[in-house]
Amino acid sequence: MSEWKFVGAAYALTWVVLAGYTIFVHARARRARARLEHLTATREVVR
Amino acid sequence: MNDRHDILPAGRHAPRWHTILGWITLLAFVGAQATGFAISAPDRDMGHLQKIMYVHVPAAWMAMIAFFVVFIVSLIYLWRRDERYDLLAAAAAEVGVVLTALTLALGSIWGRATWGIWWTWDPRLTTTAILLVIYAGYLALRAFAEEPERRARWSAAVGILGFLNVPIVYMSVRWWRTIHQVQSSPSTVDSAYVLGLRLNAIAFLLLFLYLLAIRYHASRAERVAEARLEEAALMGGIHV
Repeated sequence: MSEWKFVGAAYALTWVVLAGYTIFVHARARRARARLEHLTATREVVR
Repeated sequence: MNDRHDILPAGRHAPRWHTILGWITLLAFVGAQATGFAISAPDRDMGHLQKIMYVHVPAAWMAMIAFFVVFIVSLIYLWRRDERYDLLAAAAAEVGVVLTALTLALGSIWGRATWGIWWTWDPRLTTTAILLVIYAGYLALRAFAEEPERRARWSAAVGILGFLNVPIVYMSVRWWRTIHQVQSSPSTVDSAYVLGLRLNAIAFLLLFLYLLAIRYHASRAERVAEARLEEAALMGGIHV
């Protein structure tokens, strides 16, 4: 039974780390695109 | 920065192939993990603990591939001086650091279950920890260096020199006395475990490519935004 405790911990850790990092990277990309869009719109207004 | 001919242009939406690759990766990952978990029989010595191999080993492989990408792309940057290669190297390094940290944590869980200890200064573990420190240092260097060209040059140097440790990590289990087993690969593990290992390696490779693409896309968008801000400042006038 204790074997499963370690196996479960390893798989849970894998999913938490990889899903967490994927969410972080997505959020960063979304923020960067939003900022770029805002700057592009501002530049068009100035021109 | 040149937006034309860019494989990953910075724009409002993520390229469609990111979404497609994301779904394929998720399906492959769930399928590979389920296969490894469900069909592999308990090992004679380790029992069900053997299943940790399906996450620990592919994570380690992909970390090494990530640092190989850093090495190659850093060389190309020094040759071509194109900032996109610098951004790609940085994206690969960040994904590699996450995978290396995960590899060490999974190895620690496996070690506690089989060796009875969370950590020991074994050559494989120690060289892997050094690898993590080198590339965490690479990311710290990028965070502190402000001038883009200098940051790219210094990063490329660290990315190239840091890669020297990767073959040492890989060979450490053969060069020194170690309690870590020899490298796990389809040729060294029992045939009963080859399918699960291959499927999980493919799933981790897809995940690595997916994370690399999104991380690079984010960096490109950030840099283009930065360039537009500089341009606006030179024109004397946009307040953002």
